Amino acid sequence: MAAEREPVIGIDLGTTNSVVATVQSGSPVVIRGRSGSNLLPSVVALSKTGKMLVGQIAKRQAITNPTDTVYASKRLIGRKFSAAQTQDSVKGLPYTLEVGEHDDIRIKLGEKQYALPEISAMVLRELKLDAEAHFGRSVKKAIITVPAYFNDGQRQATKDAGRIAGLEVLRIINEPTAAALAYGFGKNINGKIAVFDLGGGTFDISVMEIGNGVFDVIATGGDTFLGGEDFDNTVIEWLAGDFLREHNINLKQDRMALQRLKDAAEKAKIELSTSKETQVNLPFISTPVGGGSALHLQKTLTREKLEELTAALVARTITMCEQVLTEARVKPVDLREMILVGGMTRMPRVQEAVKQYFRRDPCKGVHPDEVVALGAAVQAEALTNEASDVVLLDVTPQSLGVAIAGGYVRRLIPKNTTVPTSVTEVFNTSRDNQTTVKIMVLQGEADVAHQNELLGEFILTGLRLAKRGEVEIDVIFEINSEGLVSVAARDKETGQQQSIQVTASGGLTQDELKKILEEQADMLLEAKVEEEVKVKRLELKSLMNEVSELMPQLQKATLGSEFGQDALAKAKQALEVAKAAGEATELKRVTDSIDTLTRTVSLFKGVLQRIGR
Amino acid sequence: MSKDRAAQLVEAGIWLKLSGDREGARKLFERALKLDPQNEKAAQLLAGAPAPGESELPPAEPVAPAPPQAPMASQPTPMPMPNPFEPPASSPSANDLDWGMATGFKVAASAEASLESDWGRMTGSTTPAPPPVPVAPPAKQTAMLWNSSGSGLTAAPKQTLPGWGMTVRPAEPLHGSAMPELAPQTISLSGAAPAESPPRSTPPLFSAPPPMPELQPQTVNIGGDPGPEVPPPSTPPLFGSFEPPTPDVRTVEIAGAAPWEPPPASTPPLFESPPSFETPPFIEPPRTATDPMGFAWSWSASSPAPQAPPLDVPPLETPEPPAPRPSPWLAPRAESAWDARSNPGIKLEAVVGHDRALDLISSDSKLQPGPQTRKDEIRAILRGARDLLELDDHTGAMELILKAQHISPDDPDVLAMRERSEKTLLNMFESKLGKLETIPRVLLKDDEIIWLNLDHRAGFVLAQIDGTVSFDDLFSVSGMSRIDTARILAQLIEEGVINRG
Repeated sequence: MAAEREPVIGIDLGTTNSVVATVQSGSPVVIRGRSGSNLLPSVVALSKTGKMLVGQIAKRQAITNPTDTVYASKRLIGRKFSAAQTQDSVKGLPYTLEVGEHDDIRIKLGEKQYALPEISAMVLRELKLDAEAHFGRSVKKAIITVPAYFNDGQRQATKDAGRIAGLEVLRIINEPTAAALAYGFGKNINGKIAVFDLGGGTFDISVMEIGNGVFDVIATGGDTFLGGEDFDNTVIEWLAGDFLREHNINLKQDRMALQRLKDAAEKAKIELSTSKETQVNLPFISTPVGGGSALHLQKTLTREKLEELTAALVARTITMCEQVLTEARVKPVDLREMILVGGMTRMPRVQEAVKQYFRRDPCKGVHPDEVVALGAAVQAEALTNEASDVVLLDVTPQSLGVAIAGGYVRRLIPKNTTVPTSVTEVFNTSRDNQTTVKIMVLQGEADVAHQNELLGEFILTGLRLAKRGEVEIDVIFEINSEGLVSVAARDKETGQQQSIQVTASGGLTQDELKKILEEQADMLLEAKVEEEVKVKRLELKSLMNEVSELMPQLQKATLGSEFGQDALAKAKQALEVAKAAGEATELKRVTDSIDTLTRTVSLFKGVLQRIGR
Repeated sequence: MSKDRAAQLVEAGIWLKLSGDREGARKLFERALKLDPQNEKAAQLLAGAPAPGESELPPAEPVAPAPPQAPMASQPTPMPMPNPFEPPASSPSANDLDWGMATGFKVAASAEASLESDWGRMTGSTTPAPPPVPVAPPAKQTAMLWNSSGSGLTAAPKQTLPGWGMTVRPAEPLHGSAMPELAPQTISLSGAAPAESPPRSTPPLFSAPPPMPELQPQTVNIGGDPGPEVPPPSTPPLFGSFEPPTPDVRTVEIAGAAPWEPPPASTPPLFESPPSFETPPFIEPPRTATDPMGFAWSWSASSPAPQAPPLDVPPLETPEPPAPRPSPWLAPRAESAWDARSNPGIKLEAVVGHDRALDLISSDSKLQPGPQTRKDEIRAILRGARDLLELDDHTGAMELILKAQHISPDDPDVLAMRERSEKTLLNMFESKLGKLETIPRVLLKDDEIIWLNLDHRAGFVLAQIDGTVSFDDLFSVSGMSRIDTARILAQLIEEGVINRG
């Protein structure tokens, strides 16, 4: 009998929700969480009782405990603290962001600072545990999806998160690619497709070109601050506004009421995807200021009303589609297929709008919440199963190049280039008698240098004095199979050379990552010992009861004898010690007491048996 | 047992009510009624009857020889609160009258009288008031108070009240109790006008009363002619039913009027007191009266002599509420803060903020007690809390502890007691929940739930119970303290709204 293959999972690590899937009997399936839900909210919180919460529980207390609840951390992962988008986010986030040692972002929860990969790792760990519960065995290998626009740093940070969670991340793949894989594209469809991804917190529209098994994202765009939450907020506004008019109470100022409104709005929105109207019932939502009976909120929300409330949001998604397609010089009619991703795409009005714009029916058959995770699972299966006919290659997610005169970029390695790879290009000096040249290594798709990400820079000195354009310099880019980028510049005439090695950094240095992993190992060990102490304490308690029950019997049986007195005195002493040990946290004390009491029980039983005979 | 406990709860409730915590008091009265449905006192108090000492009827004059020791010139210092939880270990002395009223114990009338009650009424503070007795019409005293603004009463002899004499005779022993007969006592007060409380329905309008003079146990003579020596106080009265004794005649001599002290800086006046104003015509107060307890009272002016001829007022069956008098903080001729005619420019919101306006003018308790008084008060509250704890009434004790913490947030004794009580309460509540890992479920339908009597916090907790979260999770998601969450969950279980783990 062949050995059972090691399980491997695909994870959609989303901004608001995450999903884990695997391939079973040749079909991708979503792994249901231990709580019974397929989706795990990507929310981490430190509760007021000091407990670390992940998922649904953390989400449910997000409003009542806003400062210690981290959501949408995906928007920040792998970014620099000083980056413009980070600074924009800081203003709107209720939790505290702090700057790390390397301009990386840290989140403060309670008294402790957490790196973004640590936060994501908590979500990944929860998914890993769900998978382990599903398989009944340890799960170590995974593929994780990220948005197509993620740069190397963000991808590396996601990888680090996986590592902290105890996963070996086989590959990071683009979300639209995963969605296309879930529909089996690549095997049966070649051509351009669009992926319309309206999730809980972000909207992405991607246009991909599929050919010969290669999935090329040719255009991507969207809004990282547009998603299902915005739809919920319109419902909240509507509910709270009516309540304010009726009772002169602003529910949005009461955190408990707001939390309930949020939950109810989301529930109502989901229900309206399948029904025409729904009831919002929130009993005891608020107590009037001067006292009196608590007030109830009861309203009926129709689909028509919801569509009216959210019309502007739907229109925004279509406007962005227009922009992205225009930039990619693709017309809706050029598209072979249209894939809907994200829970919000179940809203009938969204589907209609998409259909109207793209002039075709979207693909159906795969749950839009789960399609990305299923695609990741398909790819994970292909990577680990030798029998799989899908060939997957590691490609560069973004173009690499150097800055050139005028503030522009010269791309040396275009995106989606299969790694490992190496490229050499000759450059010339741009001024007369130029003796030094600065090589700035950039990543990104923008033509203007400063709009790309600077991965590193170095200076090549000692160039001979010559007119501009006469000195030739070789610039060599190399990416090895591990994703390490090396850039070298060499004066062709003198052979003088300078180089730099660029490693994608997710914000954590190798030392920091090592430290976190060690801490985690310690914590796991502590948790294991704690659990063991708990079990041993129960054992000790049981023995104490047994000794206590035997003592009167022995006293009766050995009344007057010297041995009996001595044994009883010792037993009493042992019980005292055991009582103290029962309160202790040291495993050794507990086990020592267990040994002593076990001997005592054995002795007592022996004596009682003999006397009994 | 439950009756005793109910009585204790009523006492505690009275105490809370007198301290201004009406909601807390109401809860305790309800609990008392639950334990002892026959407890009339609890029923009456719950129905809105004023607690003993809360009455703003005129003060009882048989004062005990436990006067405030503060000198006249000093700011009025609230008297230590009587502790309603203190069991009557020894025979209560006459100055336990307030305690008796608060606790419901009937105390035999005694010649020993307490100024504590007067102080309480004058300041509107929480000291329980003794039985009401008729007093002189307030108009004169009001005028005097007004004259006193800023400069003291002595500056305008015409405006001062005449000193009155009051002879206090001991009550007759009741039900055959051996009560030694006391010689008539005379209390001579110089500069202290017999203070009165405002009408029952009118909240006290002024912040600081004229400080009461320092009294000796039997005779006080401050600044006036020394009164005659009085014998030492009699044996404290025994407990017994408080039947109206044969009317006695009591005389209090008041020699002069107390110089008026400016209010403490912590109480901002709503109006600037006017430099002077015209004194209303002097009306001679009645000289005799009979209080509802059956005591006959008479009083006479000793020095200076009254300007108007004495006016005999027949004893009253029920004391009429005194006429409204102006507050020292209002415009001179205003009868109350709401007297728009006399106070056309009054803008309470502008002075103290929209939502606090009524608080500020209605509560003289805004006076900040001194540190020593605060300590005494906290000690008394903690004693009460301990007593309740001994009775296993942890909820009641917790209410008192929270009250103490409100007065002194950092008091280590209070904090320690709170911690202990919270721990005990938490254990009690959690024991009602069962295993914390289990998932509770709602037992009622939506349309049944809305008929429950829950507040929004309980509503929030209930909304979180959806069949997926355990009790343990609920502690995390509630956003409230563990004890509050546990209390709500225990309540929901008790009322059959959710099942237990």
